[in-house]
Amino acid sequence: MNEPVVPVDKPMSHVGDEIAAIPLEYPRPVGWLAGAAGTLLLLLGFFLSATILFIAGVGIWGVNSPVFWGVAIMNYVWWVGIGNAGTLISGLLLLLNQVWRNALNRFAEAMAVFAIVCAGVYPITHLGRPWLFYWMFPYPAEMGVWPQFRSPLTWDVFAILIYLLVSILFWYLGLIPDLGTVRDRAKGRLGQVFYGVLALGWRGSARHWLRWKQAYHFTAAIAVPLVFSVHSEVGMLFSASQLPGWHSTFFPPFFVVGAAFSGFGVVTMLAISIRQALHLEDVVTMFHLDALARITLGLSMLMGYCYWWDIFNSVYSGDRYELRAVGDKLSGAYAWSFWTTQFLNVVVPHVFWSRRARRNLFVLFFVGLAVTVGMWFERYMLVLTTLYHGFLPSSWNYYIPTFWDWAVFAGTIGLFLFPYFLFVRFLPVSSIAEIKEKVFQIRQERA
Amino acid sequence: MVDTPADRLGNLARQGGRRFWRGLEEWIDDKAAQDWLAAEFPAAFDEGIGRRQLLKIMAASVAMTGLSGCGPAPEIPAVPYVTQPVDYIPGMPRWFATAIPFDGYAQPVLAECHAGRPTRLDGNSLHPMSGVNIAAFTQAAVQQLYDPERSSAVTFRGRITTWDVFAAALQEERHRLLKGGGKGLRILTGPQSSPTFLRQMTALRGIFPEMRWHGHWSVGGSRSEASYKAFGRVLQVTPRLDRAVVAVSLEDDILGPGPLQISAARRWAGQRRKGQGFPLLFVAESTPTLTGAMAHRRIATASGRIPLLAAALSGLRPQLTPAEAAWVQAVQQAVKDNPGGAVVSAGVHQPADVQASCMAQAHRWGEPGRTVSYSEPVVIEPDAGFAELVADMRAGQVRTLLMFDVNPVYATSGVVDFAGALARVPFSAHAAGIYDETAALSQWHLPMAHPLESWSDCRAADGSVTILQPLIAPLRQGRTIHQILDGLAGQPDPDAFTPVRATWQSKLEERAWRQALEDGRAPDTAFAEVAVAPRPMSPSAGAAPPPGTEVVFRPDPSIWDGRFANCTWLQELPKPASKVVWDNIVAVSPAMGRKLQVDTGQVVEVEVEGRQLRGPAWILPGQAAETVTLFFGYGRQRGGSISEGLGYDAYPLLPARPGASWAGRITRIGENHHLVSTQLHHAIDGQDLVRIVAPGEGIDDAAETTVGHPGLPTLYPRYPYPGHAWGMVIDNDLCIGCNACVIACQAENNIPSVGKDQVAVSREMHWLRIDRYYEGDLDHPYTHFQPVPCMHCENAPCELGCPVNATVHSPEGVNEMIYNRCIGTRTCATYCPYKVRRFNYYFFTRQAAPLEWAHRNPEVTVRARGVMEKCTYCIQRIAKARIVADREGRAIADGAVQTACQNACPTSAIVFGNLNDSQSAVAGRRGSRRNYGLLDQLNTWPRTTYLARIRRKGAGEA
Repeated sequence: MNEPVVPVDKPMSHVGDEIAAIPLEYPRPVGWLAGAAGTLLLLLGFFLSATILFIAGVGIWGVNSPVFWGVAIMNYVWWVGIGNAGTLISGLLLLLNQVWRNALNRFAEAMAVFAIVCAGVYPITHLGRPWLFYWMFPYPAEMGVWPQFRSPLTWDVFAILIYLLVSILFWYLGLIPDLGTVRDRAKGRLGQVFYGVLALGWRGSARHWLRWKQAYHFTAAIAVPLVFSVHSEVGMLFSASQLPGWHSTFFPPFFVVGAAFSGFGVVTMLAISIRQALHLEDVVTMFHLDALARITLGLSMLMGYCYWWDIFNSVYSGDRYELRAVGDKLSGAYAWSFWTTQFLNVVVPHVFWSRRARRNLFVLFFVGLAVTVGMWFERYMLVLTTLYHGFLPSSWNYYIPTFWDWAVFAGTIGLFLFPYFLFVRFLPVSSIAEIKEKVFQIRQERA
Repeated sequence: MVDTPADRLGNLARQGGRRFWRGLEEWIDDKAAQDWLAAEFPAAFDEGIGRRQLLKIMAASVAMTGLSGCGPAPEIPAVPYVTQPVDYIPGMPRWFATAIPFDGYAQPVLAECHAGRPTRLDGNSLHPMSGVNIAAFTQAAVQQLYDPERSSAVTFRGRITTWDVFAAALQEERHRLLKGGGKGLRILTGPQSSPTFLRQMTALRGIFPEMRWHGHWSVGGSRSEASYKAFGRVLQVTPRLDRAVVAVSLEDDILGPGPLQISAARRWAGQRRKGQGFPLLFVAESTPTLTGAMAHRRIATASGRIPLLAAALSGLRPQLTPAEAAWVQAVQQAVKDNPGGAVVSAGVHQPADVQASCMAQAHRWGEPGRTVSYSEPVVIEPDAGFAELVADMRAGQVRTLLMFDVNPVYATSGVVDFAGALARVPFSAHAAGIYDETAALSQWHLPMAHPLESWSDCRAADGSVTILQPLIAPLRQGRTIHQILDGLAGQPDPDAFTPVRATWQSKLEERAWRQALEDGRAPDTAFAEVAVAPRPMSPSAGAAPPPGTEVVFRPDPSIWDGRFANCTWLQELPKPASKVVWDNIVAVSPAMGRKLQVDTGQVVEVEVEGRQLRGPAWILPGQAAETVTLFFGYGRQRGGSISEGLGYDAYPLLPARPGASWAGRITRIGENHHLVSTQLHHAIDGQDLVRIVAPGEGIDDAAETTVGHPGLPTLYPRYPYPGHAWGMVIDNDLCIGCNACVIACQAENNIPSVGKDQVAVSREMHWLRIDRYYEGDLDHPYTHFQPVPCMHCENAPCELGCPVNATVHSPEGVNEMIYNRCIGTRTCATYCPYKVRRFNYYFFTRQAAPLEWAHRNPEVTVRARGVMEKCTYCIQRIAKARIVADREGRAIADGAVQTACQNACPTSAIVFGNLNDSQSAVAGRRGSRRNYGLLDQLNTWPRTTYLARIRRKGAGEA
C-alpha cells in the first residue's frame, strides 16, 4: 500500500485550509440547510412522540406479555453498539498508533457521543414511570434505598453514564487544538469568541502540546476498556435471565463484536457522506475507506462465527428449551429476521474481497447500510425469538410494533443526525493537528 | 312524598349512585329511625333494651333492616360518627351472611362489607352446600351491584317516571283484574325456589283465582318431567359423586358452570381427595366440558347419539360405532368391578326419556341412598311453561303480564315471536336489574333490587333456606319481586322486609330468625332424603340421528345466557376450553375444520331449519366430529355498553321445540373475525408441566426440587426462615378449571379488567391464570388445567433483574412487589420463567367508573400506570392474621391465612400455609410423593408447587 494516508504532497497549510475553513465559511450551505431542516423535523418528531408516550404510557407501544421488551430495547442495544465503534476507532487505534485513524477519529467520536445520547433516551422512555428514572442512580436517598447491585440494569446505567462522559471528554480534548486553529482563522467577532471560549486559551505552546498529548492518550486508555465494558454489560442484560436463547456466558463478547461491527457500518456511511459533501478527498482518502472495508469484512466473518457458534452452543447443550430456541431462530415466527441478519451481516460484506468493491463509494456505502440494518435485525431477532417463546407454552405470544414504536425510533434518528449536522457545520470534522503531525512525521522520515 | 312531576324527576336525579357512602349505623342514631325500629320490632323495644344493646343483639341485620329500600331513603346528612357504635371498628370489615340466587338455587355467601358497602363475596362457611367456596358467577354479583349501567328508574313506554306512578297504574290494573277473578293475569319468572314467593303466589291465587304463573328457562330446563317418568313424582335427583366410585355422564356437565356447580364439585373432590383416582368418570359428550376434562375415559360423540348410549347402558343393543361400543363396554366393566357404586346421569337438555332411563339405571346400579340422593325438588314447578304463555299472548288472552328477572325477548328461540306477542298485551311490566331487550319492548320497566340490596329467601341445592338480607340500601331505587307482588296483592306502600318476615313468622321466632340471618341458613329447612322406587319403564332403543352435521346449543361458560354480559370480570374471564374472552365462538371439531377448510377465527355460517347465523369458528379439540356448538349470551342489542356489540346471538337459531340437537348445515364464509384468546398454544410441547401418576405412585424424578429439598447448587447462601415460610401447593388432580379462583383473585386484589383490545395485545392482568393443555390426539385429547399464580421462587430470577429493589424477598419467603418503588423496566417480567407478572401498560384502574371503585378492597393498593404487579399470596391476609395472632400472643394458626383463590376453590385444589409447620396442611401436601415444582430444573425453587394428576390404569383404559 503505497498510496498516501495523509496529504503529504500538499503544502502544510492545505490541511488546515481544507478543514478549518468548513466551520468558518461552510462550502455547501443549501445542502446543509436542507439536511438540517429534515433532521430537525425528525428531532421534533422525537419530542412529540416522547411527549405523547410520557402522557399516555408505554402502552402505546406494541410491548405486551410475554414480550415485555420490544423495539425500545432493540434500539437501545443498536445505538449503544454504534456508539461503541466510534470510541474503538479513535481510542484503540490511537493507542495502537495507527496513522490512518486521524482522518476518521473526529467524526467517529462525534458519532459515538450522539449515538450514546440516543441509546440513553431509551432506558428512560421505555420505563413505565419515566419520571422516576433517577432511582436507578446510586444517590443517598432519604429512605436509605439504593439501586439493586445484582441487576445488570444498574450496571448498565453506570456503564452508559460513564461511557457518555468519557466519550464527550475524549472528543472535546481532541478538539481543543483544532478549536484554537479555527479561532485564529475566524474573522468575525462572533466566531472568535465562540471558538475562543471553546479552545480554553489554547496557545500551542510546547507545554500545551505535551499536556494535551498526555491527557489525550490517558483518556483514550480509559475509553477503550469502556467500549468492552459497556457492551458486555448490555449483553449481560440478556444473559442474566434464564430464558432459552439468552442464558449464555457467550453474550458479552458476542455483543462487543456486534457493536464494533455496526459502528464500522455507520462510520463508513458517515465517512463517505462527509467526504463527498465537503470535498475532503485529500483527508479521507481511498486508503481510509479501503481500511474500513477490510475491517468490516473481518468483523463480518467474526459475526458469522458468533452466530453459528451461539447456535452450536445451544445445540451442544442438549437442553430442550435451548434446542427449541434454535429451532425458533432458524424457522420460527421471526426466523425471517434471523435470515435477514445472516444475509446482511454475513453474506453481503463478502463483496469486500474484491478491491474494486472496496474502492467503489456506492458499494461501500450500501454495505455500510446493510451492516447497520442487519445489526438492527440481529437485535430484533435476539429479543423476539427468546421472548415470544418462553418456557411455558401457555404464555407464548407474538409482538407487533406500533406506529409509536417507529415514531420514537425515527425520532432518535433525528436526535442523532441533527446534532451531527450541527457538528459538521460548526466544528472541525477532522483532526487538523494530528493529520499535520503525521504529514510532518512522514516528511521527516522521507527526508 | 313529592307531588309534582318536576319534584319527582328532581328526586330521581338526587337518587344517583353516590348516596350509598352514608354509614349505615348512623341511621340508628336518627330519631326517625328509632321510631321506625320501634314500630318494626316492638318486642325489642318493649323489653326496654337500649339502643346500643339492640344493635349488639341484632348484629348487622337490624342496621340493614333500616335500609330495606322502601322508596326514596330519608334525607340524612352524612356526618362522621361522634360516638362510635360499640361493635364497629372503622377500617375493619364486617361480614354478613346472605345468598345470591342463580336459576332458583341459592348460592350461599358471606359478604365482606367495608364502611357500609359490600366489597366482596365468599362462600358461607356454615353452609354445607358451599363452605367457603364460591363460583365465579356468584362473586361477580358484587360487580353487578355497582354496575353504573344498572337500571335506575321506572320507565313507562321508555320515558322516566316514578314508582308512585307505577303503583297507581298497578292499583288501577288490579281493580280491573279483580272483576274477572284475575283472568288474563300472568306472571313470568325464571326458576324460583323462594318460600316467600311461593307464599305470595298462594295469596295471590286467593285473590286472582284465574292468575297463571309461567316459568321461563333461558338455558337447560327442568328435570321434573324426567324424574316423574322415572319415579312417578317430581324429585331432586342428585348424583352423589362423593360416594360413587364410578360416575357416568351422558353429556351431563356435573362439574361445569351452573347453579349446582359448587356443591357437585365439592362432592366430587371429596371422593377424589382420597387419592385413588376415584370416582372413575366416564363421559360421553359432543362438546368439551369441565366434566369431560376430568374424565377417566371420555368419548366425543354427537349429542344426538346420546340416547343410543343411554339405551346401551340399560342393556339394549343399539347400533353403536366401535368407539362407542368400546366406551360402553368399559363403563359396564367398571360398573361390574364396583358393584353398588356407580351412578349415571344425562344432560338436562337431553330428552326426558333419556334422562329418566339414566335415573332408573342409576337407581339400579347404586346401593340405595349411596350414589344418588332423592329429595323434594328445590325449584318450584310453575303453573305452566313459556310456550303456553306465548300461545295465550298471541291469542289475546293475556291482559296483564308481569315479568321478573327474565329476558325472553332475547333469550328465546328465534321461532317464537315473543316481541310480537308482547305487543298484544295491554299491560306489561318488566322488572330487572338492567334495561334489556325485554325492558325496551315492555310498557313498564321497573328497576329490580340486586340480591345484595334485597330482603328475600331462596333454597340452596339441599333445599335449605337462606334468608337474603340487604347489605346496602338500593343504589338504584330498585325494589324486590316481593314488594311488587305485595303491591299487586293490594298493599298500598309495600316494603321489602315485611313479606319475607311474614313467611317465617310462624317458623322462626325472633331469636331463631336472627340466628338464621347470622348463619345464612334457616334451621331444619333442608329437604330430607326420600326413598323412591322406579316406575316400570319400557326402555326405548332410541333412533340413530340422521347422518350429517348436528347443531347444539350451550350457555356460555363465562356469561351464561347473557345475564352476566355487562360484567367485565366475566367477559374477560377466559372460557375454560378455548380461553377466548369477550366473544362467543362456534365450536367445530378438528375433523370438520379440515373438511370445511376452516381455521380458528374464520367466520362460518350455521343453518338450522332454514335460519342462519354467522360466527367465528373455533377448532376445539375433543369436539365431536359432526357437532357444531353454538353458545348463548352474546349478540346483545341492549343490556349495557359492555355487553352490546359482542359476539353473535345464538337464540334466533334455537328451534322452539325442545331437543338436544338439530340437523344443521355449516359453511365457510372465509372472512376473519378478530377472536381474542389468552392462550394461543395448547399443546404441552412434550414438557412435563403437568405430570400424571398412577394411584399411590410418586413423581419418579430424583432431581425433584422444592424449597425444602434443593436439588441443584446455588452460589447464594440459603436463608434460614426462622419464623414462617409461606408456601402453596396446588393439586392438579383436583383442579376442574372452573375459574372460581381467577375471579376471587381479581375481586380480592383490585385487578382491573382491561378490555378486548388490550387482551388482544396480551395485556390481561389476571394474577392467577389457568393454563390449559391437551394431551394426546386432537380428536380425543385429555385436557389438563393448571392454575398458575406467582411461584414465589426462592431463587427468584425477577429479583435479580430489578435495578431499583422493587421486587424483593420477604423474611417469610414471599416474593414481594413494592409498587411505590417500581419504575417499570419490566426486567422482572422478562426474566420470569413462568410469566406470571402483569404490567400496567396504561392507567387501567382509572378507567373504571367512580361507582365501580366502591367494590375495591380497601386493604389492597390500587395500582397506577407503569408498575408491575403479580400474585402476593394475598399478603394483606397474612398481615391481618399476624395482627390478630400477635394481639392474642400466639402463632398464626394453620388455616388462619386463606388466600382468596384457596377460599373460592370448590375442590380445595389450592392449599396455602406455613411450610415450617410440619403439621400444616401445606406441609402435608408438600410431603406428598406427587409433589413437583414447575420448571424445577431451572433451580428457581418455587414455593408454589403442584401435585401430579392421578390416572388409574385398567378399568377401561384405552
